[in-house]
Amino acid sequence: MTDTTSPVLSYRDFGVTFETEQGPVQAVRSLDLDVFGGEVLALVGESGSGKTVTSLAALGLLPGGARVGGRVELGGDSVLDMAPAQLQRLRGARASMVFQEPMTALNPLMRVGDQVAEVLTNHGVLDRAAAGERAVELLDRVGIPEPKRRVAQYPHELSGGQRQRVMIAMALACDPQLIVADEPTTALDVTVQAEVLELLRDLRRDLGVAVLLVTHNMGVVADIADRVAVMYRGELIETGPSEQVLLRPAHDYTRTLLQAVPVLPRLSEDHTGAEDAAGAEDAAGAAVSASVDAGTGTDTGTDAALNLEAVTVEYRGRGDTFRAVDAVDLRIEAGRFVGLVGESGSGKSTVGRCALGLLRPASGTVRLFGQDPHALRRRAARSVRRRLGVVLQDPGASLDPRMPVGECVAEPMVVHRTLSRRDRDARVAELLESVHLPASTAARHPHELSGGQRQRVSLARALALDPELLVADEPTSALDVSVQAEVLEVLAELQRRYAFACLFISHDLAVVDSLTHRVAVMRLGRIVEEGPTREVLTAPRDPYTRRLLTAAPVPDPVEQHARRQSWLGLREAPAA
Amino acid sequence: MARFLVRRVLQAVIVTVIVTVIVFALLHALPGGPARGVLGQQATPEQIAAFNRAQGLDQPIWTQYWHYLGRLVQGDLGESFTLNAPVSQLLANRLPKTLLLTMASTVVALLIALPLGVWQAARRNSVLDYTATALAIIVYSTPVFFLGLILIMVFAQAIPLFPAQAPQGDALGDILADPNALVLPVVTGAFATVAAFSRYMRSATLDNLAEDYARTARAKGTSERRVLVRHVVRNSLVPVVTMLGYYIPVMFGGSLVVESMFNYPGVGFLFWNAAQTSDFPVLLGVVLVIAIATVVGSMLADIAQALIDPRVRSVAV
Repeated sequence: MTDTTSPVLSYRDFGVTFETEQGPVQAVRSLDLDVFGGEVLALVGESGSGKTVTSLAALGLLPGGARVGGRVELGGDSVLDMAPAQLQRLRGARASMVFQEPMTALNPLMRVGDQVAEVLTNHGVLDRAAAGERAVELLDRVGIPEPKRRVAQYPHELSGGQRQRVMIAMALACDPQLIVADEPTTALDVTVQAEVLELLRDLRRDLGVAVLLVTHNMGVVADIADRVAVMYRGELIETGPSEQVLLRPAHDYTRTLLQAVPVLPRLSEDHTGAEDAAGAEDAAGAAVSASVDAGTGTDTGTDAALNLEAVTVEYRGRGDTFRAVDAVDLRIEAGRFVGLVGESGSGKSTVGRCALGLLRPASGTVRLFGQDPHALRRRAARSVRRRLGVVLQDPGASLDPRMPVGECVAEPMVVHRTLSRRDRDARVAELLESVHLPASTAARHPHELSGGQRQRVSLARALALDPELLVADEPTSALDVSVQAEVLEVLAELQRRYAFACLFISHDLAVVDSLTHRVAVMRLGRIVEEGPTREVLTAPRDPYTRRLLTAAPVPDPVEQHARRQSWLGLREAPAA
Repeated sequence: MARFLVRRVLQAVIVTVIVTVIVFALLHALPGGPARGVLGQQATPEQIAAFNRAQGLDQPIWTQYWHYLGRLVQGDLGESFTLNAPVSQLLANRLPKTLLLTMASTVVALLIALPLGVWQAARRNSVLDYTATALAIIVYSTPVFFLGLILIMVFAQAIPLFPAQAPQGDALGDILADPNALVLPVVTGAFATVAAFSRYMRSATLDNLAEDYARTARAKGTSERRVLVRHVVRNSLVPVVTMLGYYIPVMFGGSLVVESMFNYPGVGFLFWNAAQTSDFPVLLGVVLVIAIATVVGSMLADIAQALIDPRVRSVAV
């Protein structure tokens, strides 16, 4: 598939330095890379590796403060030497871009058809009227239903996946040689991601366009990339065909990175369910709960940490009510980890808020440790809350930026007046140590810490009162894989040490697999399937679970190919 | 959209009723009550009692409020203590003139401020941008009367281009007949607005230039000028339009100074004189009118925002 004659895009000795107040920071160092016609080259790396900066340079889109060295050539023309007018002629015509966040990447006040047409009129390909008609064809080409109606809509009226399709339509409009896609599916649900990747695959095949795909997701790489280039701290450390890099990585960092990716267990081809269900729960949980005494899993008679029965939550909108959670039953025994997975809008976070007693359901019962949190008087409610811990997705937002870390961690103890001041400091040190942070971290502020460190601080805070139930809502979604692996490991270790129960809310099935005993799958406010994690993930009974599982890409190109085939098969089948 | 309008108007009505309660309470919070205000400090208790009876001030407070509201609905704001005329008549005569002055000032100001803000954002951190910023801050922090005095000194006395007194006359037509005399009051009133709104517009434009959609537009090969004009400006207007609605009381405050300075026969001048003679019915009538204008202004701003922003519109439908 690769055309070895001459590259569409080539970097030679490319480097970028940013001038900051702390002095120059080298974002990319002497990088050599070629992208050939018709190939998908994945540029992978973790945050701060320089992959986005490298990709932006292909269109001369680097921000003002950047000092650039070396050469970047697009079809033989030096991009870095181009005058603004030349760059304008290049952007959108010879090379185009698809960005990560399709909501913010589109102008909210402009109809999507006009935004697509603008590329065509910018480059004088078509006049306004013809460009408008062409926009309809392009939306049709990228698989947006009812394109005639859609062109007149605004971005907020489209779903996330459709918005990203609009971005792709814009990128295609002028038949470019190269599409630079910067994390194009990261903001999307897995099933939508699978659709968008399928579209990119079609376009590459039909139009022969080269794609420079920037991503952190090894599953996406395995799914679509022909070649992979791995970046680490501004340097290109490994380049090669996908199969080689993903299966036989040459560089240590690549190997570490791949090991950090949580992997889904292989799906059994049998659709009817697992015969090896017996003991599956323990097998899955073994990774985390070897030391949890066997009794906790079996005594269902006593009070569960959390018990939801027929819980329904409604949000009143304009005129009509929206049922976010619909008759959900969920039980978490003491000391057990239960995963709650689903796509955005499935109602999983709402269930989490019910579990915390923050949201009163319209009907159904919530029992925390056998008690109804909404029926309790103030003091009893406080004592129930003491037994709860919570970790949210974005530690940058859930830690007070002006409060030193130590105070943050100590705050629950202050609120609930447990421990004296001196004992509190000792407890903070102990908690920080238990999440693998030095006690000296207590004096620092959240902005001085990395994302992973911050999330470990919120974990320490959640555990300050020795909770019996931890609600973790997407605790690792904002983190890089290697950092995610660290945080998950800390969480598993803490669970072994303190034996708390956990409601682990996530969109990532593989993460749930590594950590939980049981899993519940949510869709449109309902739990469609619940069972021992390993059993659900290897032999799902519900067709939606199966679609979800096959849509989630795994970082093994061979297995991913098989998964894609079974996903395509399920996609053709009518949706349940 | 229709439902949004109905809801928004209802909100405005509720706020207005609350405003009448506050104004009514103020009327009764006067030391010694309105009677002292009218009859003066030397009035005997008998005189006060007689006044209270005549004005219905001896009735229970809720009855009084009810009557006050009833009169209000009929456009009766009471009698001026000093001018021997109904407050409503005074306002009816003065309000159009003040509206003319403030509208003219605002339109002139926005015609300068909005392009200036966009231009500053496009040339951000250049010497010209810094100069404009410095001037805006100086103007904004200078009292209006001082700016007015300088304008009078320069353009009425040193170079006598315009008269130092605003056009006089009872009818709106008299004012419009002498546009030359309107120049200095309008310009004086516009100064602070230019300063404030060029700042808002500059920062809104800068925020939007850094947005993802602006980067997308550039990645489509859109020229920087077109990114600004076609994408960024409209997005930047959304917060600025909202700001404008809340700016109405500030403009009235400005007109108070401008009108008394240029002897302009508007509401501000009326208020100024009423304040000096403790003419409470007039003062509170003006307060009520300004409060209602503010309520209506912020309602219009919300509606304008809905017209600009399809997201607000669709939530509003």
